Amino acid sequence: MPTKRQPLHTQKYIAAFLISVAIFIFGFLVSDYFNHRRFSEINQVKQKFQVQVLALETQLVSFKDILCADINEDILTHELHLIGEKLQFMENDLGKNHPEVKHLKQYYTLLQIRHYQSSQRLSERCNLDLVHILYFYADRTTCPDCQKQGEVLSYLRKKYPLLRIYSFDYQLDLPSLAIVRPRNLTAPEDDYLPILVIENQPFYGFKTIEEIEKILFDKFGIEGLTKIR
Amino acid sequence: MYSASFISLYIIVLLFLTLWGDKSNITKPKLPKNYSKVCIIVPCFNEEKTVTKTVHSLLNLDYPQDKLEIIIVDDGSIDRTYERAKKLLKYPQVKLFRKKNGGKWTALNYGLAKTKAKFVGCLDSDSFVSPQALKLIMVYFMDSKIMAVTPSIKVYRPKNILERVQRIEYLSGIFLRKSLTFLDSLTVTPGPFSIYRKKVFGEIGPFKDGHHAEDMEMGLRLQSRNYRIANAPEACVYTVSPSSFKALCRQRHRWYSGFVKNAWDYRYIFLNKKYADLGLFALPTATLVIIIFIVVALYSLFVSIQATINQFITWQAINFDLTPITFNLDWFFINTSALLFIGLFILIFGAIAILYGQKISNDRQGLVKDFLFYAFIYGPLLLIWWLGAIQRTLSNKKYKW
Repeated sequence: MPTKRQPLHTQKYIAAFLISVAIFIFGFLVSDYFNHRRFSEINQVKQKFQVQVLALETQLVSFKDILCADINEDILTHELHLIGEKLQFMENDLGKNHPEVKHLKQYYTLLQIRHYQSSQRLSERCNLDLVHILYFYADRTTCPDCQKQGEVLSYLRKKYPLLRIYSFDYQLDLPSLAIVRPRNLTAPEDDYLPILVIENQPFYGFKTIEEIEKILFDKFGIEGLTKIR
Repeated sequence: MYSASFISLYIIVLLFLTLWGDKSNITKPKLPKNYSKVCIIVPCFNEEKTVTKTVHSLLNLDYPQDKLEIIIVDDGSIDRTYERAKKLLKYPQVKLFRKKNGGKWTALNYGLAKTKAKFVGCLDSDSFVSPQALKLIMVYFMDSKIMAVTPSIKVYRPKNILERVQRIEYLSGIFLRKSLTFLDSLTVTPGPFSIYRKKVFGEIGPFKDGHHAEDMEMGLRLQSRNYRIANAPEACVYTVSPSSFKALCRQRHRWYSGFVKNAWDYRYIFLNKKYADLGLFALPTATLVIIIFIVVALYSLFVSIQATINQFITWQAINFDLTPITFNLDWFFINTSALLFIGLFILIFGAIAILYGQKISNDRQGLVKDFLFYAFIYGPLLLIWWLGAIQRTLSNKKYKW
């Protein structure tokens, strides 16, 4: 015999909705907490790094005969790279337009420029044979080859300890970028990107490991590159 | 992705609230003092390997033997099923009939016509019942409003990965079925050991082909006429699950295609206030979940393929020399997105549902290894099954049983 159906469990639907909303909010709060901790960590590393760069610059400016052995330029480079990696992670996670990410990226770019300038001077003063490469990239739509180029440079950086690679977002809205950006580009930027500036000489378009190694060997010789400080 | 996560979370929370929100839902029923006569129909088609064991499991039921009738219907098998079944005639409870092949539903109706028992059940000839199963099911018929009772179905001796994945799926099915019962929304009376009041067939008619999913068609038909279906999770039935990928795909294509076609046949239930939870929640949600799953799975597949190609191209640029690549174990680089935490909740709820299924069905096998197989393999398998089922539904391909 057919029976009367139970009425709709409206209260349960509402309770389930409220619990789900609460879990969703909890998820966002926990995620936000970790992101906040990440930004604090970047800021701490950033401040520590800033002090170290200032110390290096002061040493370079103040003393004629600085004690080259006392300067840990490679540690500074490693820390700069670490900030870059962390920032890249945050950019991938939160997007490049996130206000905090945007601000940190501008700051990181300035740190890179300062490190680059200090490292150049230090290399001259202390005969460190450092090789500086500036790498200009853009997002995947503007520069489809940039991901590949980044991987090639990471590979070379690990292979040759004396390479100093600085990555700059070509599209970043930061006037100070003009200090290092190649000038007099007439065609649209995606015709040039990625751009490598190796010891002040620009190279346009994707360069393979072999092509970069050839440029480096021609300029500095194989001994100079593979030397370990 | 956020919408899909919210809907998944909402459904699982609702099912838990339904199951545990009302204390009366978890009280154990008491066994009846008197038992009615029950007829179990065993439809067979080329089941020479399992029919004897199936019938023996019925003979071993802890149920008054004079109240038990077993009708084996050989649906025109071309192997030795009939010869094997003939040997079982030495047991007074067993009756054997042979008919021209016509499909499982015709075999069931043939058996129905041969019995006078008050209760009728069906047991696929590749399934085996636990000794207490029938008693535990009959408890639910003490409520005169209950017209059909379904058991818990478990995989019989899972060995390979596919069987182990199905084991976990069936355990979670125990939880799902029980929750849906409390919403009056069970829409399948599975072939392995669903028991009916016989009079119901006189009122709503016998089994139909139901697009080769006669159990779903019967479930929907009972629901459409407002007949109540209960679930006895403690009553366990073991079924031999497909062990090869091809056989499993064939089974799932048949099931899912059957779901789509039967749901279409009973589409008037959807969003119909008259059917309360079933019409306004269970059926629309099931359909929505399937659509969301297919869209999200296809999108994830597309993104994964694209990422793999990009990674390949990138590694090609360094001539696949991966030696300088180092992995950073700093907590900073661990994914802590909101979706991950929400996903974690869904996973925990899912694990509890499986544990519930394991506990209530008295399953003592280890879970961790099978759960890992399930976590990694089930999603892709489900996508393959659904795409195959949709393709078969559209091409209107016929199935054999």
